[in-house]
Amino acid sequence: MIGWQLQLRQPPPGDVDARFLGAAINGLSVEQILHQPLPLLGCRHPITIGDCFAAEFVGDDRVTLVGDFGRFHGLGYRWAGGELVIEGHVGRSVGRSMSGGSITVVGDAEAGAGEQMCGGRLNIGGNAGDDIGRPLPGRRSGMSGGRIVVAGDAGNCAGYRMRRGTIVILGDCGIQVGCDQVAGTIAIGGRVAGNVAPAMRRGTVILSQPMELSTVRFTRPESCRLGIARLIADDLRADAAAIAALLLKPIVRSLGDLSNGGTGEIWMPACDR
Amino acid sequence: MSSSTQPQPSLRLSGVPIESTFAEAFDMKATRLVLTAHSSAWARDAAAALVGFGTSVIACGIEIAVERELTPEETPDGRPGLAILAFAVSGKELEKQIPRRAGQCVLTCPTTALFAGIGGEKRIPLGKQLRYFGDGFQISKVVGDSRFWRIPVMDGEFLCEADTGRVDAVGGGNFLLLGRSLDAVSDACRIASQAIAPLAGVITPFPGGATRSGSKVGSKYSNLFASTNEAYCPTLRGLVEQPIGDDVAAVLEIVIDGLTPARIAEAMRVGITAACRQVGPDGLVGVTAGNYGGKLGRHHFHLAEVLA
Repeated sequence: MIGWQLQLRQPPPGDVDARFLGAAINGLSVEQILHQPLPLLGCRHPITIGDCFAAEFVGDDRVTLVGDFGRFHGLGYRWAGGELVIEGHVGRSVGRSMSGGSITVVGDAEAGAGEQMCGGRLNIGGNAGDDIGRPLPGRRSGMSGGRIVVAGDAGNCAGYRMRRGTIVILGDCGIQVGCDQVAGTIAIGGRVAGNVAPAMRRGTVILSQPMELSTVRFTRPESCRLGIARLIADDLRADAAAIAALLLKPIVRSLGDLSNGGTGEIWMPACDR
Repeated sequence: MSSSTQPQPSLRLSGVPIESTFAEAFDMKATRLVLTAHSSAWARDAAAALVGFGTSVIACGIEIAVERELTPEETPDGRPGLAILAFAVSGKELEKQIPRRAGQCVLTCPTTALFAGIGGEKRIPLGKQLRYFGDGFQISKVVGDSRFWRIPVMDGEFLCEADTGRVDAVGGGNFLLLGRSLDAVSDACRIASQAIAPLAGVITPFPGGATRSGSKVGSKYSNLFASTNEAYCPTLRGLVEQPIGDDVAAVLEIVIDGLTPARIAEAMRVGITAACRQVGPDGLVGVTAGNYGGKLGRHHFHLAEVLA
């Protein structure tokens, strides 16, 4: 991959469908990139990348976008290899359908980060919006591989319908984390607003703080010694050392969502009673 | 190792004559398992069951033994464990034997877990097959690039990697120790197998690392494809033609399976050297090796080259 940098020099007149600013521009020349259309959402007449950006090749091996991309949605669409760094905030659905490589957002990401992601790694340095790893509209299950790491807080419904992969949220989390979760692992370093994993079928939600779960939807928390916890701790250590450390201590587990016939599990630290 | 069958000049090691011959070994398929448990005792118990009846492919299907003990720092789940190597003549036989043994000997043993110990594109099923014991309550979990199955059992969960790798390997490396007495050759065998034991990538699958029933191909009985090697049976002296002299009271053979020819050659060198140095010519009449004239196996380990 050839490294280049796009510097936002003028904000777009409206919200941009930025799916093209992803895997599709790999291998293009500067000239070609600047002439690529950027569709504006709700507008028939697209602008070009050159209308908003200055582009230059750089020596490193990655693609860097510099500026506030809060109105750019779908950045990193189908990203399959190499490194994409976004030095600023991004709009909705960053990393949509990505399958490999890595995307790093230095700032915040709006809703739908890692939508239908199936591989690779998405790092969000700030906060993330709702529905991390959600499915594309019309799909039954969402994220099916890869890893999303949110350094800050996350909105509601993180891991909505995720089927595989790992979501790590180092900060706090909104309501309904793991909603409709099919499988995969969600680890949360901070507090969770409530209503954890409604309609969860399988998968694992790791909470760093004990909390009361619905006794209708989840089994009573039972202390257990799980060999897999050590493996997951090793896997998480580089991204979330504190969560990894918790997994090496006694934990309790609840199974559910029973109202849904689910056998997912929620792990949390065993509290001293 | 060499592919030629030319006789080598004789040599002595610590005064023990080394015959100019070669060990003939065969291509095999191999895998490595990592077995862990809550304590070393449980891990050893499970391993003992797992490797039981695994001395020779002739009737056991596979040759399997403990490669070495692992410290908690060396195992995936941070518990004491063992690395186990298994060899078979075909991948299909490994696929048949490993899940069966894992299911009956590891899954059943308290506190154990089972992991892949080797990579490779071709895979041998472990948890992928054993998961059905969970009767629907089993849980799959992908960690990193590996899939694990968690099967609920009465002491918690049996954690088992979905599959393990399968690699090409070599089986049947060997050397024969010719003893002046049973005591001497028995000691020499123990010394040799203890010297080989720490080496990575090899196993000596027979009891104590040695066998007394060296075999030849075929038999007077049509249903047997291997039978006793009368040429090295001291009790048949005078009855059949034998390469061993009157001073040989007993012969024992060390059989070595390894992941590569180089590892087998190294194990042969280490084993022969240790036996000759510690027992010497007072106990050992000589060292030789078993072969079939070079016609069956493509790996020929000439003793002179191995010890060079």
